[in-house]
Amino acid sequence: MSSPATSAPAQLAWTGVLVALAAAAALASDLHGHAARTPFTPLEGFQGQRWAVVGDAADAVEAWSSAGLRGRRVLVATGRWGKPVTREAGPEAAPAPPDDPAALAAARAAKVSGALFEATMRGVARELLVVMPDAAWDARVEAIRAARETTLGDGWARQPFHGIPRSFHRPATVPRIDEELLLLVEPSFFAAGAPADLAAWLAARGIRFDLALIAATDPLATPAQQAAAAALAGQVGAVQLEAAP
Amino acid sequence: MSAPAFTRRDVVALAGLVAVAWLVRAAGIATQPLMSDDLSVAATARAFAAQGLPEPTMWNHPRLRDLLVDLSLDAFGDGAWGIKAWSVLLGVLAIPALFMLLRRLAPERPAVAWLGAALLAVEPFQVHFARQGIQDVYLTFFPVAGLAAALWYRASRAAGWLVLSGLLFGLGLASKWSAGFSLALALGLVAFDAWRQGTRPAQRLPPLLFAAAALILLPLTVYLLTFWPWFGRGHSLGEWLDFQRAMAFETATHVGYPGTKLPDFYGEQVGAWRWFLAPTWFVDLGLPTVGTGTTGMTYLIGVGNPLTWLLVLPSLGYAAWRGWRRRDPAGGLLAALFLVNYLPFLSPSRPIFSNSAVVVIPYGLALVGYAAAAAWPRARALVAAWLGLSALAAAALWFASVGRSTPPTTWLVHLLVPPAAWESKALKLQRSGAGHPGGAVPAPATPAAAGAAPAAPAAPPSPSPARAQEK
Repeated sequence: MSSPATSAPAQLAWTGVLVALAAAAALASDLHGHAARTPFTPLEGFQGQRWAVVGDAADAVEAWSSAGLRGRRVLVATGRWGKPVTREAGPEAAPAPPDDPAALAAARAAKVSGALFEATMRGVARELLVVMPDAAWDARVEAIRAARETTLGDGWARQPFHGIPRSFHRPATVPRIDEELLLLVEPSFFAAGAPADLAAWLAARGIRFDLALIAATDPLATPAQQAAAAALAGQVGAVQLEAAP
Repeated sequence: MSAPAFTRRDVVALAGLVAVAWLVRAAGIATQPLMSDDLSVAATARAFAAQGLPEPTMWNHPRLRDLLVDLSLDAFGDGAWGIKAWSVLLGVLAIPALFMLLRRLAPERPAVAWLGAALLAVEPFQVHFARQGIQDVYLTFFPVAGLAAALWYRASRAAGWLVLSGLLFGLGLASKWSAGFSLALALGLVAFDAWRQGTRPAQRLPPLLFAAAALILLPLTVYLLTFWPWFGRGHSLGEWLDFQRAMAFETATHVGYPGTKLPDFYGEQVGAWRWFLAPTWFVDLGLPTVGTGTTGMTYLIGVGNPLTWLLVLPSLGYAAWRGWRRRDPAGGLLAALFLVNYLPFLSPSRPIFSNSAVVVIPYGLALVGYAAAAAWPRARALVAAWLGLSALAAAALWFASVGRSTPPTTWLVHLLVPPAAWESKALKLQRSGAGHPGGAVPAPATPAAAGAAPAAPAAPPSPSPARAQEK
């Protein structure tokens, strides 16, 4: 390259080109991100409903995946926090023998425990907002208090995992989000500190969602909490979703 | 600054140097056992390119490696060349890049460029990282080439050089953030020139704006675009900035991956202050891999050539002295280049592992080449003897970095690398379970020779180390 020295007007022209290029790259990236968010398109049988019942959190992840949902913020109302289990005991391990109920139950528990993590890895969830009743929130904060990524606030805590945003809230601190969410309700949410009428609470806080799934059960749910979840399903007229095999 | 002249002989000699560099980085690479890092690099490249997911390894680093490795996996398959082609290529290209940088820095003293480039061509520590999938070695090319292009711009004022420089620095930043050290220096130099170019704002403004656009906006644009697949996960630009903050937090507080956090871990030397005062090493373990014929674990040990590394600080003193007292701009700039790249690693805020030394090596060896070129007219026999011994040491240490053993290699490695380093590396694998779903790596004995390591089950590494870390 032995071209002559660039003149001042040419330098300004180069500057303009590079500024335009940077602006175009930033805009294109942002648009690409927004375009990648897939909204829920109600399937046949939903009859306009946005509420559905699934077996558990693992079924919810399958339902989201099979509906082609991606890049979504997910609000989880739950009284527990599950984490992925180690590989040798996890869902990728050899399948449990079909004639061993204990092994099948353990495999299912592992799948449910890692369900939300799985949702982030699959790209369904780009952010997790978790709302918890009092005791569960206190326990969660104790578990993450010492972690270097944790930020604690009054009634909320942020703890991203590998840059994936995750936050934990008491019901009063759930932020208003200007975006339709995916909602998952687990029965263990129905405990002291949870809103008495979840549907009304969602409406009052201005939380919009295009698909709300109610898990019939979760690992910590008591029969009373399962009944509360069933009552919510009845109240909102949720349809029953069959889990994919 | 006069333009350096190149003869046909120069071109042929440089081609020869590049051929040697290629040979030592590529020879036998297809049969060199892969490391767990290599397999994680391949898995992460696929996950990022296809889904925008920066997992399972090194989520906190920039993502150029994933995009490049995804391409080479497509081109060469999922073996060694698919995983390592870019490391080999950029590790080799670092040699002509350093040559061009030094020719521009000291145009009247071609020996500086020849010596610096020759030392880098056979530097066993750089070779070690050029023969694996992780991206540290990219930083021996992109920032060095970016600096060379910036210096060419300073001399010619031709805009193309500065745009090329910005492009190269952008790719450097997209490899690892430490490319930013050289970028800051290049920006400072070019902005200083622009400021001195006139006395009125109308004279200063165009070159200053152009410098900012080429060396700030353009690198950031390139960097941003390497996250394109990540945006495909639904993220906005604001969320990207949050992600950068999370990456920065992790990088600033990083204490190691599973296994290296063990209190007695000693396999990856910690402490940048050691690099040019004592032998520097990085111990890796090659896994028994299908296709390579290996049935046990293999030690792959990168050791900095002590006959060059231990001369870096004296050479720095000499270059700084020449720059200050003799008003030699080449000496001053070389000293500044080295310090700008080295000093940030001396920060005590987190452990700095010895792989980071790769970033600094080109500038360190440039200093040694500078000092040796100055000593040559007065002490030819001494310099020739040192060069010969350095070449022999580099040859012996090359065998250690590729997992082979020769008697001089064994002797030299045992002289330079303490047994605890060997043992720690195998214990790391054993305790973290990395590479073995059951975590069943047998405890090793101290190896009798480089390349020898305990047998282990032939299993690929877990693609999901993230799972073990999740809280």
